[in-house]
Amino acid sequence: MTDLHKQLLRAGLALVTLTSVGLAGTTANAATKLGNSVPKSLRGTWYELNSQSGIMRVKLTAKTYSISKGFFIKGKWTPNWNGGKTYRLGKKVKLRKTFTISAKNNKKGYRTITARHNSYSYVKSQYKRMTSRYSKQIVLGHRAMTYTNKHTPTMSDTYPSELAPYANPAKHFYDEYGIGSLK
Amino acid sequence: MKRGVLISVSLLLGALGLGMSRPTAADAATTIPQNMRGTWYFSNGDEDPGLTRVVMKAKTYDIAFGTFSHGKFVKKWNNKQPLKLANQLTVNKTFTTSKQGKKLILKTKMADWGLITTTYSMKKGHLYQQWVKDDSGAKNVYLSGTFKYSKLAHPGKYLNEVYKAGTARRL
Repeated sequence: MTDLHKQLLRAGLALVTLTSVGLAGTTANAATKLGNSVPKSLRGTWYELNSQSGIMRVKLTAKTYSISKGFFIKGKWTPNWNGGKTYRLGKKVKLRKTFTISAKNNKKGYRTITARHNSYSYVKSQYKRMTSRYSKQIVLGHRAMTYTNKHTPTMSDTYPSELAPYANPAKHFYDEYGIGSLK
Repeated sequence: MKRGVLISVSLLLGALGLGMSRPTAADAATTIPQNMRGTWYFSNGDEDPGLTRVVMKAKTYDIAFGTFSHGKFVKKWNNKQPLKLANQLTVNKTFTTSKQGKKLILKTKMADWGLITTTYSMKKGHLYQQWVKDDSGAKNVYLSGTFKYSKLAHPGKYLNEVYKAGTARRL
């Protein structure tokens, strides 16, 4: 055995050990490979009107996620659900503190954000930047599924919805639908 | 000539009088129908867990979204006193009704949503709700889906059962 051979063997061993460690690491969370940041295409503040309890607002930055429902009263965002809670991107989902994001888009082009709004369930929300089905506007496609702690889906919310960005959301919702009030 | 004018004016006034008296008479009569009265629940399966509750009595109406705490309904959206039946709408206070065949047309005016027209109908013991947001000030019409409301004997239990895993762990 020459020195070169020894070196090659060592390198090979190192490579084998590295790959095996790498494999173990990936297999552990192969199903939920996590991303390190929110993709640029999804970032921004998005609004949607779909329920009597208010307008849904989703705010996404590189490392934060905030989802709430409410109205613009006197021009000010007044949430009646999950107000003021901004979750930070983490490696684990912590109740009202951290969320995780999938590393890749799924087959339909959606990213999955997992968060916990209460102790007894967690939500997987899927987001995708796309052109609206109804107009030529750029919107954030959204679908969500609520799971119990036993990982069984409970109340399904599979109907896809669309959130849109607005320069002046308070004015938009007041002018278009007469909802809420302006300053 | 003068007589003609007088006749036409009186006819016009008569028509106006008739037109004005009709809706007020109808409005005063329409209380909420017997079969729609009671407490109704609907779960919209949202990211936001809870139930939408509608409480209807002959002359009061209460719609809210909330959850249960110690068996009691806690309102999250629309935490207000029940609205009362009246001939005129006042913000957060009164509602008006009319009938369209067997359907009940109910109008409310909230500080957040403004004027909303809700249509209620009954089918096989369930209450069906659809609402529209269209007042003169708004450019766009918002039409909701049709929601099925049911009477639940134990609504708190129902909501807990849906999230059984979570509650079992806590107990």
